[in-house]
Amino acid sequence: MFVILPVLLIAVVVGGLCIGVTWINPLELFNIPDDDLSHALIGLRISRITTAFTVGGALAVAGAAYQTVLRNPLAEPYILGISGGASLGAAIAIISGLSACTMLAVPGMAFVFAILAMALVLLMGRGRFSEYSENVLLSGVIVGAVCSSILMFIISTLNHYELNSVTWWMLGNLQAADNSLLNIAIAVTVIGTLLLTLNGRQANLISLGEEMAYNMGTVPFRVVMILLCTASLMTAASVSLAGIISFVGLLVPHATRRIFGADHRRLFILNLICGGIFLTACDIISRVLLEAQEVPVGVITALIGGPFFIWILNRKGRRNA
Amino acid sequence: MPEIMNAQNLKFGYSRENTVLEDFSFKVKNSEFVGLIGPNGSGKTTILKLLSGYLSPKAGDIFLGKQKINLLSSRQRARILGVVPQVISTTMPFTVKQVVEMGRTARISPFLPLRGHDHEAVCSAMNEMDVFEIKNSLFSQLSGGERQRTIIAAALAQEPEMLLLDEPTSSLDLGHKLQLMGLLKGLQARGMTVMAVSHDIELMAKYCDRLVLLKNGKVLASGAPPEIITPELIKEAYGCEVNVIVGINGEPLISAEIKAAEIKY
Repeated sequence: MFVILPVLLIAVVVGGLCIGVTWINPLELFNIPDDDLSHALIGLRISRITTAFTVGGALAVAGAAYQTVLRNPLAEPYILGISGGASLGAAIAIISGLSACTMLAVPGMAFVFAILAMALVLLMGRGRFSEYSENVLLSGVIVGAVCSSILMFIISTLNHYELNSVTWWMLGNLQAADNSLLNIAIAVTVIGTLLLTLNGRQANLISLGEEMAYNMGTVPFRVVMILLCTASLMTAASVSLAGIISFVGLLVPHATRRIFGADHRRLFILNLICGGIFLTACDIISRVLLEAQEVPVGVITALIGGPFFIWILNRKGRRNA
Repeated sequence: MPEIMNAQNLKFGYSRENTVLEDFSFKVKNSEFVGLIGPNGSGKTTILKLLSGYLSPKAGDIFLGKQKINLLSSRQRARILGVVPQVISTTMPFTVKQVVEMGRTARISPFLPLRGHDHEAVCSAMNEMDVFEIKNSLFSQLSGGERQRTIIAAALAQEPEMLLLDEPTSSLDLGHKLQLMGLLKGLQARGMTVMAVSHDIELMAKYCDRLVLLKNGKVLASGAPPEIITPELIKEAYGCEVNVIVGINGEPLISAEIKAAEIKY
């Protein structure tokens, strides 16, 4: 599988550059006509591939971290109420008129509210004798539900145009609104993945439970906080860049763990690559599924992810030792 | 002989109103094999979690050697103290070998791979706990006994000075139970201090130097097994009448002739 990854990576990059409403012959990629239109098209597609790879990678890495810390195979990047917080922030930016002032208002507010939701969950999770990760999980569900309720209330007051904006944001969009935002998301994703990888050995221990991790010589609370905060920042960055794209953070970590084993010293980097490949491939499909119309990429991730997930779960085979 | 562990006047409860331990003091000498026995709810597991430092007492101090346990770094503590909890489960597809290797965490740099002696310690621990043959099997798919042996192997790979075990034989078959107790006795002979919590009184009486009988978070009696395994103390702790006979090796054995009507929990 280690050999197949670079092949898949090259395939989705070439596919992402060539496939779309306007087809570009792969053989012409190194000989692009010297006109503004061609350059703009290639520039847009490069930006889109980069966004898809960053968002997919960030969500997959964050999902792997959440599943490890919360010791719950159903944990995903939005479990700590981050999507609820981000959606609320985006909706507030739209109804307050901030989105009309600057393109960065919606992603900026989404990021701020995602971080606020995360901070609230981490504070609420502090309990005396139960494991921190268990408390955090429950707090996340509560904060998510409260944010969703407020969002529903706001949505009920929106006019047609505002409702359309919020809905489209929530469906996910991989065309980056701003390059500086994309650069920030790339930086957060790369630094976050490296930080998690450096804590890979500790992450292995945490997946056996906080008590076991403590007994083997770590400080569980510190490790849990590093993993949760890093994963939450990565999620917030990706949500603010591309809206809410479901399934990637649940499916990719499962598949990666099943194929490559559970050792977190290499699992986070593998998730970055696999998540990036998966979302870029989904994005290519979303461009060509309907003629002259794009399908929201979140729909594709769910349509491909569901059956693939079932196949992975039923796949028999040994994992790497 | 100097003490490796000294708990002084511990007070603990899981809530403000609830008190599990009150003024609990306890010492373990170097290279001693101590068995902690007592009925359900007597506080055995809580005491083990307090002694390992995982739970913090409301009052009192725990010394590991000459230092307070809460002043030791996590790595220093894990080099002295290996702990085997009652139940471990994970949904992650770790192999047996990977779990045992985790026992080396406190002995190696967080960012470097295992080296020569680390591999030797891991292999030796897997051999001693009879899990070498299943080293590539997934931990999550093992039986309860195999899982328990794997976790004990991980604690052995830690190369600690003292081993705390919570019900280490609860999932083991007779052969592996005797093998484990023999191994613990052997580790004691090599200088390791061992403390085990168990409901298997006879097994503890056969292998331990000292038994500590607990009731309601207090030490009811402490001493050599024949001093503790008496009909009177068993009745006081467990509320049932038993006969105690002497085994071939002089160890106390509890007769199974118990009338159901006499059991008063």
